[in-house]
Amino acid sequence: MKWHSIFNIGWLLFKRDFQYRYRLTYFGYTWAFVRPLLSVVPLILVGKQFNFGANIQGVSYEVFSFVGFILFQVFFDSILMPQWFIRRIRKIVKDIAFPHAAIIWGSCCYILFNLAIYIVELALLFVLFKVPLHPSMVLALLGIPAILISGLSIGIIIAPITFIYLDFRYGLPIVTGLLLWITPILYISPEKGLLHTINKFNPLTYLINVPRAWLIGIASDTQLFILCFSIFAGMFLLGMKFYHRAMSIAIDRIV
Amino acid sequence: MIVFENVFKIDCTDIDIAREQAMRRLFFLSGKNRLRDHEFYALQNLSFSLAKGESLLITGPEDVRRAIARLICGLTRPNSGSVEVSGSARLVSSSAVGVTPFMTLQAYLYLISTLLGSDRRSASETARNIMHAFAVENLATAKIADISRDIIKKLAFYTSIFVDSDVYVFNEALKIKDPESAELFQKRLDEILRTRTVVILEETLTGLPLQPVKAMMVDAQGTSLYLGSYESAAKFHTNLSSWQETYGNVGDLSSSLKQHLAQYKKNPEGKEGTEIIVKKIATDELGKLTGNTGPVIAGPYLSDAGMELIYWIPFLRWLLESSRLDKHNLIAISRCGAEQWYCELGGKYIDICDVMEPEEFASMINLRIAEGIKQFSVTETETRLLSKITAKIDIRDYHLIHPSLMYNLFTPVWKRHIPAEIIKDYTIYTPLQLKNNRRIDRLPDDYIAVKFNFCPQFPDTPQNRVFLEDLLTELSRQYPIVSLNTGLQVDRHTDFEFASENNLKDMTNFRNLLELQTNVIAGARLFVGTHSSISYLAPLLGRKTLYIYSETNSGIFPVSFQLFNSLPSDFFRDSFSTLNISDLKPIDLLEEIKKILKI
Repeated sequence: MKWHSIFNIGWLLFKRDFQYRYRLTYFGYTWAFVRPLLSVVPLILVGKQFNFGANIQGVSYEVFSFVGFILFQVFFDSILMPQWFIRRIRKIVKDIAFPHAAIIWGSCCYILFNLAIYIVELALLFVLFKVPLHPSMVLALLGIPAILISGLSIGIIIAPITFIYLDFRYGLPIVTGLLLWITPILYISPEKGLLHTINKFNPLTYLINVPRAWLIGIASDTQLFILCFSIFAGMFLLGMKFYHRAMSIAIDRIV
Repeated sequence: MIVFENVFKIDCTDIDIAREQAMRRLFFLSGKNRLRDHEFYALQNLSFSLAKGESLLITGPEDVRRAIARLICGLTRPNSGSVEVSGSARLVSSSAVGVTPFMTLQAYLYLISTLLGSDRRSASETARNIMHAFAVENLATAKIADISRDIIKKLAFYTSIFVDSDVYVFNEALKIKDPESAELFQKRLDEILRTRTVVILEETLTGLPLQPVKAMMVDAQGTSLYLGSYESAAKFHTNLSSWQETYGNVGDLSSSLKQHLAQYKKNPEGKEGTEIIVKKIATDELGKLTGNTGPVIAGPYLSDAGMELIYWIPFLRWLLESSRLDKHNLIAISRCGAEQWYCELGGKYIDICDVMEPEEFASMINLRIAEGIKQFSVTETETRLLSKITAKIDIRDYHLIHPSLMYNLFTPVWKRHIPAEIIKDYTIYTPLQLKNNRRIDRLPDDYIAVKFNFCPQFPDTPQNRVFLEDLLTELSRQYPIVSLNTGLQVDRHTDFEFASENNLKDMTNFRNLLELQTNVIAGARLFVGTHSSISYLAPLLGRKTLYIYSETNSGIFPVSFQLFNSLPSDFFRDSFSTLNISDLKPIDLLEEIKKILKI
């Protein structure tokens, strides 16, 4: 497999679709900035009103929840983008044989573009709320790729299936809401009760909370983060094998 | 290089079922070649190879051509079998894939070149060269939405042949409709044909702007009807078409094949059609068997023992290996204790003599001998026999491989209508390993087994009778001999009667006839006999063997003789030799025997 060829093709496919997508709108690339804000601002307003951030130490609720939401969005983009992107280029996939790993890289380009927007917005937020810099912010550079790979481990399994059935395409946005609320993104995990149990066994809890803690400079349980990431990393490797096998079967069914 | 080996590709007429089946395959839940409702074979046991630099034209229905094109280019995978392609393969298309309205022409050509395998620098250069070749540099920054669709398609097509690839696949893309670019296209095409591997898929053989080296014709069932030179392809196509007009659908083979054989001698041009039909029979049967998970009955075999040994069992072996059938599903039905011949095939053996009374069996055999021993179709008697057997072993649904399949398949070879080598494509010969070989106590420890019967290559003439009489008299003086004559006749061969001290007559019945003869041959130091019937067993068991004959060009002897001689020399563990005794005396044969035995 020629890596430079995969990266080049993936980038070109991303560029082609990206330019086409935003050229079809009047406000163009503005939508890329506005989309996450429109999602999270109402949630933060509600959360603040109901005092979800009562037990948060050392940082404001707005910063706490916005950082968590951004990290969650990185994870969710990593699940969503491969299948979304693959359907947009399905005619090319059907008629031209090229390394299918390029599709994964193309969807990563979308994820990274969104991530760049999120980082800019995060930086603005930190300036606005005067969040001090911490040495642990460097660790976030490791945490974010880990979240990305974890999401991709699911995304690359779903992607070929969307050539056959669109249930994931329609169902994933619905599942977002569920995942958002069973993960302690907009709230601190309670110390007891059903929600505590759900949070405790939800791997996203550690995938989001630990990098968030690194970014905003609070204590975290790194071990569980490493454990969850290891499981997702293993899934990613198996997922790549499945992806390559599944693509040649699923391509026959492209409509 | 391209190699297709036993490729099966299943397609579906119902999109919902196709999607369900795709999901099953994704998660390993689907049987490889089992056809479900609305499914059909786009390709069925297709095999061919193309060396580097060769060109191949494939004609056939559209879905077959599309399946082959996509398999070569790696756009899909076979349901079973393997496809190997060395290097990159390109499906040349005239459709403008990947176009978006806001892209510039230069960006689009750059994208296509990159998708087709160019690196960054080459892709930029390719885009510039193509725009220059078609004098459209002024459109480089124009948006696709503002450019004529025809220009886009033309440029996309030329890009797909301009960007280098090891293999080019033209699926109905070879006929250029635009006269302005014909010269440019032809120049590039000539270069591709000279230096690259090319596959051309078209509906017909004619009207092409070039002549490929090879041609293959595939029918609607996805099986190959012809693979050979392009020059002969048109002739075969005409022959097959006229054959089908005369004899009907190639699918109804056994009756139409007989008609074809009868007509063959009047029309030697039909020879190529016969090869095609033989191949079609074998491939169809293999297709039915592949993926079969239920019981498979092979038999009931009721014909010559010799044909059973050197044609029927090797044919079954080929069918079982090629279809990868689970051997436990096989039920072989034969007679007279031939169980040991079928051991190595695996599965179960049922002897007809266990389900019929001896008198009933003898009567059936006598009738068969009178009417013609070879099994060219399933008779009523056999149908009743199969019902009886399947009821006894409690089987309702099964796939039947009847000996008529083998007889119909190889008759053109025995009649010398097509070369004998074709048999090797549908048979696998291996030495016979006996699992339960019992030594017969009352026979000498060291003996020569003999069996002589009269056949076309050793006719019943006074000279031959005298020869045998003298030979056996002298031989029995010098060496213990055991005669395989039993007094029972199960095929058309009449044994030469010789009074030997050691014979099987009083210990043989229909049930143990072949078993006893097998054990005798297996224990012999040497076998001497005519090249027919159970005599074929001796070299298969690795016994030193000496065949005699007096006529060379009679019956199917030349075919079986040629077959034995062409098998690998290490196939027979001990020596196997033949002798034409027409100019010899018995003493000469005795000397030969002594030489073999190293006395």
